[in-house]
Amino acid sequence: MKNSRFYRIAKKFAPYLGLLLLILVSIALGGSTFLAAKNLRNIMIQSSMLMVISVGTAFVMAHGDMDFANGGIMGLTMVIAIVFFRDLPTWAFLVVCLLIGFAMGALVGVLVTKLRVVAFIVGMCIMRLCSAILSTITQSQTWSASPALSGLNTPSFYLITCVIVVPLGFVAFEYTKVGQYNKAIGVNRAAAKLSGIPVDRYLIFSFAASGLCAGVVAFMTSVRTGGLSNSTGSYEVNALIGLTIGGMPLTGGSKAYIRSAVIGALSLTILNNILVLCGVNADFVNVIKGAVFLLLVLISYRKRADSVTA
Amino acid sequence: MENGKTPILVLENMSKTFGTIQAVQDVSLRLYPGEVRGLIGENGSGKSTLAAMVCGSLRPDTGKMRYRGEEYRPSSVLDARRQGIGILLQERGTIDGMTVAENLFIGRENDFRGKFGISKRKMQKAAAEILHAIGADQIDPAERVERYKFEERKLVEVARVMYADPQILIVDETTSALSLAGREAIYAIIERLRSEGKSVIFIGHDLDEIIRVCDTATVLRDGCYVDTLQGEGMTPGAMRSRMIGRENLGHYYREDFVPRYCAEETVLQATHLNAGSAIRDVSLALHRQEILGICGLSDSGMHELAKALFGGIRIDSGTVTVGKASQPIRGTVQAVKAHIAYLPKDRDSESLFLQSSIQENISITCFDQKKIGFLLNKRHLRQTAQEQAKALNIKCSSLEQLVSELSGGNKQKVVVAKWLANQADILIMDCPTRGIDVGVKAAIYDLICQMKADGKSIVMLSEEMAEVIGMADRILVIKDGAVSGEFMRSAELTEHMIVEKII
Repeated sequence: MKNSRFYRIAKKFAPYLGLLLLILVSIALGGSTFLAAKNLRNIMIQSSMLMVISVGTAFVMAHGDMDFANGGIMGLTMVIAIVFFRDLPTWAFLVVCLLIGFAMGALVGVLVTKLRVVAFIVGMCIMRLCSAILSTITQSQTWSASPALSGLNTPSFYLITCVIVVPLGFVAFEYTKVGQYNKAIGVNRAAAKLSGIPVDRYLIFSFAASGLCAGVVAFMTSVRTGGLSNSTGSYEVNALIGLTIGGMPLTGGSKAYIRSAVIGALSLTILNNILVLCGVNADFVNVIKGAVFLLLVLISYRKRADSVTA
Repeated sequence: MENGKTPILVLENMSKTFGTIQAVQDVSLRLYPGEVRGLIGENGSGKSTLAAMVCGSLRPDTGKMRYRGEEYRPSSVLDARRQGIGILLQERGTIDGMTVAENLFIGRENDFRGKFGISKRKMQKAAAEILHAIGADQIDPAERVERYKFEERKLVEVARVMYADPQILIVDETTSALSLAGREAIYAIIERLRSEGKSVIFIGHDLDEIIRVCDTATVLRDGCYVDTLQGEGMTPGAMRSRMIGRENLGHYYREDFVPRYCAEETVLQATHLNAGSAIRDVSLALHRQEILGICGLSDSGMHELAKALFGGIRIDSGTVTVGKASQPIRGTVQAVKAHIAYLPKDRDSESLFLQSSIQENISITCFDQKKIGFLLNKRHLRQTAQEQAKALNIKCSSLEQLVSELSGGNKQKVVVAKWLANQADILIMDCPTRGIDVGVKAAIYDLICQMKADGKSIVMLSEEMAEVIGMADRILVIKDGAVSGEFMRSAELTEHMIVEKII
C-alpha cells in the first residue's frame, strides 16, 4: 500500500510528529531542567548553527550526493579568517568568511564534476586536512578572534541569523534554478542533461551554496568561541543525520525540502540535550545518534526491498 | 480453445487501483495449455497492470488467481519465475556492471555452487548453452552486459526467462523495441513454447503482429474486459473497434502524398558528422515545416545520429548548426536554447523524471520564461503545464500525479508537452510511437501534423517503416552509420524500396 494516500501523508508528517514526540518526552524526562531558560537558550544556539549548515547540505543532498565537506570547509574558513583577517571590522570579517566558504564549496564542486572525484571522498580529505591544520596550529599558540566579535554573542544574534538564512535557503531551494535543477538531477541525471540542464554548473552551485552556509557557520562559531579550538564540531555528520531525521531522502529528488534542515537540526539538538541532561555519557550519545540514523535509513529504504524487478 | 481441456491459469475478478485511477476492473480470464493469447487495448487499458499482477510485481486489490488448479499468489517476480511464470518487459531489465552470465542467473546463483562458492566457469558455460539455444551465439557470457546494445540485452532477458523453463511466458510489449531479427527470435521462442504445450500471454500494439503470433486475442478497454476474439474473428478492424469502442476510426497517417515544406529555408544542418563507428560522414539538412523521416535498423547508428543532432553525444568531427547561425551546437544546453527538442527512444531513463510530478516534468524546460530576477514564476510554470496537459489530453488524476504511474502513451505525451512548453521549433523524435497503442498513436501522428502546420520542423526516426512512409516528406535511410538512400514522399513508395537500402 505504499502508494496510498495514507502512506504519503504519514511520510510527510512523520518528521514533525517525531519532533513533537521528542519535545514531549524531553519535558517529561527533563522537567524543569529541560524547560529552564538557560537550557532552551543553549538548544537554540546549538541548533541554529546546525540548522544553517544543514540548509547548505540540503542543496547537495537534493541531487543525491553526500556532503562530507562542509564541516571541514567551516573549520578551514575559520582558520584562514582568524589567522589572516582577524583585525578586520566585523562586517568585513563576515564578508571574508562568506567568500572563503563559497570559494571552497565551489572548488569542491569543480573537483567533483570536472575532475570526477566522488563527493564524499573530497569531503573526507578536506575534513582530515582541516583537523590536521587545526591541531597543528592550536598546539603552539592560541588564536583568538577580534574582541569586537564577542559583543555579538547574544541569543538574538543566533536567532536572527537563522531567521535570515532559512527563508533565503527556502527561496533558493524552491524558487530558483539552483534548487529545482538539483532536485531534478537527483531524480534522473541523464534526463536532466538531455533536457538541456547544465548539470555540472548546477552541481557546482549546490556545493558552493553548501560552502556559503559553512562560511556563515564559521562566522557564528568565531562569535561563539572567540577563537580557534582543535575541534570543528563534526558538522558534516550531524547535518546528514539531522537532515535524514527531518525527512530528507538520501537519494535526493523531488521529495527534498528545506524544512528537513529545520526539523532535523532541532530534533538532533534536543535529542542530544535531553540525553546529556539525563546523565548519558557523551560518547554514548553518539552511539544513540548513530543508531537513530541507521534506523531511519532502514525505514526510508525499506520500500525498495520488495520492488526488485525481473 | 476450450476443447474440454483444463485451463492452466484462471484469473477471477481481478481489480487494481492506483490512487484514483482504476487500472484493472473485475477482469476474469482463462488461459489454456498450448495457447498463445494476445492481450490488446489502448494505453492505460490495463494490459500491463494485469500482466504485472500475474508475474508477481504487483499485488491485486481484489480477485483470485488459480495456476495449475491451485491458488496462486506470487510474492515477487522471482517467486513467480520459480513457479513457472516468467515475463519479458518492454523496458530494460538487465543490470549494468554485471556480466551477461550473472544477469542471466540472477537469483539462481546457488545452482552453480562449487567447492569455493559460486563457480563463475560453470555459470558461463551454462549461459553459453542457453544463449545458443535461443540463437544468440554472438553474446559472450563473460562480457559485461552494458557493452551490448538494447536489443542484445533483451535477448539476455529472454535467455533468463527461458532458463526457468516457464509454463507461462508473458511478453509485455517486448517486440516493439526490437528490430526484425530480434522479433523473429522472440517469435521462434513463442512457437517452441506452443509446440511444447506451454502457454504465452502476448501483449502488443501491432495488430498484424497479434494476428500472426496469437491464437486468441483478449481486448481490454479502460481496465475492463471487452471481448475475446479467435481464429477468423481476429481482424484488425474487429480488434480496433473493440479497443476504441467505436467503429469508425477515420484517418491514421497523413492523407496527402506530396512533400510539402519550405525547401529554401534550412532550419537544422549537419555537415560531415563523425562519431566513433556509429556515425560516418553524415550530412543532412532539415527544412522548415518538413518531416524528415530517418529509417534504419536499430544498430545502424540512427539513434546516435538523433542524439548527435541534439549535442547529446561527443562527436569526432563535423558540425550541427541551427538556421543561419554560424555557431555550431555543442552540447544539450545550447541545443535547448536554440529551441531544439529531443524525444529519446528510451523515454523512462533519458527524458522523464519518473519520481516527479507531471507538472515538474513539463515545466523543467521553461524555467527561464517570465523569471523575476533569479526567482522562478511558479504560477506561470503551473499554468504552462496545465495548458500543455490539457492541449495534449494527458490522462491523469491531477498534475501532481507521479509520471511513473502513467501509461506509455501518456508518458510520451508528457515528453512532448515538456518540449512544447519550451516552444521548441525543431523536434527530434526517436521512435515517437514506440510502445504506444493504436488510438494514442493516431493522436501522436495528428500532433506531429499539427506541429508541422504550426511551422515546426521534425526529424522522425523510426524502425517501423510504415509510419515513416505514412508521415515523412522526405526519408533518409541509414545503414552502418552512413546515409544509404533518400526518398521523397509519394504514393508509390513502398516498404520494399526502403528495405533494399536498409540491409
